[in-house]
Amino acid sequence: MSQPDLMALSVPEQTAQFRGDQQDVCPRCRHTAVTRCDAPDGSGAWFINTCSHCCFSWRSTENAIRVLETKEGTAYRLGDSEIEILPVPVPLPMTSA
Amino acid sequence: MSQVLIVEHTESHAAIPDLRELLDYVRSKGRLLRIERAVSPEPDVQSLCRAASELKDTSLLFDRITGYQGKRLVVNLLASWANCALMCGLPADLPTPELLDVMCSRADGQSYKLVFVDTEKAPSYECLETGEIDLYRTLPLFRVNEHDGGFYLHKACIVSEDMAAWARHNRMKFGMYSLQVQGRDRLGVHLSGTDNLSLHLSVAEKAHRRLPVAVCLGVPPLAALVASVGIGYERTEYDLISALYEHPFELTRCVKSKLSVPACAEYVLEGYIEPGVRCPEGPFTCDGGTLSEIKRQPQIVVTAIAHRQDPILDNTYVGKSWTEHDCLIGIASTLRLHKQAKDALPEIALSGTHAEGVHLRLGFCGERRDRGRNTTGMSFQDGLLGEDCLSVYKQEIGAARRRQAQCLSRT
Repeated sequence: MSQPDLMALSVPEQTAQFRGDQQDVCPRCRHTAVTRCDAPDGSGAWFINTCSHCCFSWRSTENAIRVLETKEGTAYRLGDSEIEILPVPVPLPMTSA
Repeated sequence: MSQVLIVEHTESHAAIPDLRELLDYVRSKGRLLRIERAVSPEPDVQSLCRAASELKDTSLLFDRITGYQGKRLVVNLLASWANCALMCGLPADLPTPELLDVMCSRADGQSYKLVFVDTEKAPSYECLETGEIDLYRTLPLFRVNEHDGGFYLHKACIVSEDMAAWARHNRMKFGMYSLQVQGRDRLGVHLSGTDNLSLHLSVAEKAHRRLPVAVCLGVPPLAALVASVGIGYERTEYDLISALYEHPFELTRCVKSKLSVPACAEYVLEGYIEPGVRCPEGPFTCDGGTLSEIKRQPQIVVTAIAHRQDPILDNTYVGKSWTEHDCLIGIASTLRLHKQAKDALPEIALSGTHAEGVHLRLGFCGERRDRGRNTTGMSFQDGLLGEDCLSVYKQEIGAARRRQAQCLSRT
């Protein structure tokens, strides 16, 4: 399920909002299909989140909004409509009618 | 961490057969820096790799990455002509034209029959996991560049077969691709649509079949070289690797798919590509420093992970500066085009000085390969890692070099 878009906020405001979401919402597509994996050595130093919808990954120690920051100072978003029209280099085979 | 093995070599000797021996050898020559302090994946590993690339001629070994205790990572191992020469068993100070001469000569030389090692005895299969697969726990991953959409493996060698010609051994291809880790058992694969894996996938999808693949990480260095550029169907990659080694190349078979993989790879990830599935992949910073587009690409489902004891992940930094890809692709392209040029222009082979041939070869090696991608619709903030911050990491590398030089001078 998508969350309201945060494009109107500046990057610092989005960073604060993102941290408030407790990292269970993908910062790129705003879906909540996020899986978590802890550091393998059991140290608890970080965990990795991966969005199953848009495949964006970020570590808990990173500022994910900064990863997505564009030159215009906004965070790059990938909505459902954009995903639908992404290029497909290896075309899917035609299905017969 | 394993002890450093000082391998005594004469000036010229046989090519180094596997990654571990090459690591020990280049380290004994002072050409591999071990980062001794504990580092975070981001920003430390990320920034040190970028600093190393900008400083040039710097390969890094990490074995104290926070959260990845006990895991080892090597980056930029073949980002210099000197290390490429050492890989071939040649002196580090060998001029590049002579290095290419030797490699072209080997590529045209004797053929060797491939040797198959039983899977149970292959170093790649010393450890095998087939239950719950978790790439995040197995591999020491880091965001290679600050705007990458995930954690990438830029030196992954994939084995796949043309199902329409499965009975013919020369339809199996071994190529290098960039992979994005997209889940515990998922890898997004960056394809162009015209590379061999794309063609193999198209054949499999037309038949509504899964395409078995094997992802090999930490392959023997000359295998990585050959995998970095396609060589067509006139010869298999494994045959060329054998010729460059001047020794039969050792292979083993995957337990599930029976694909042939290098017997000394550090990791072998067995799996398949599900037909008809495409997932968003990217972006990532390409050679040349531009950002790739996000595209809907196939996804590899990993069903088994095999690896050596205490494995080493061999990854590479890609970006603006001269990178490992430039060395690998430069040499491999020269090998491929040398044969075509020699066939078309026999005077190159007959020339006493080989001047024209050298010029031809250097024409491919000397140029920076710009593989910048179309970035329509996306322009990312550049240089979030400021020059002041990057200079700190460069100073750290400089200090590590001085300490290493002092250690070597005392031995």
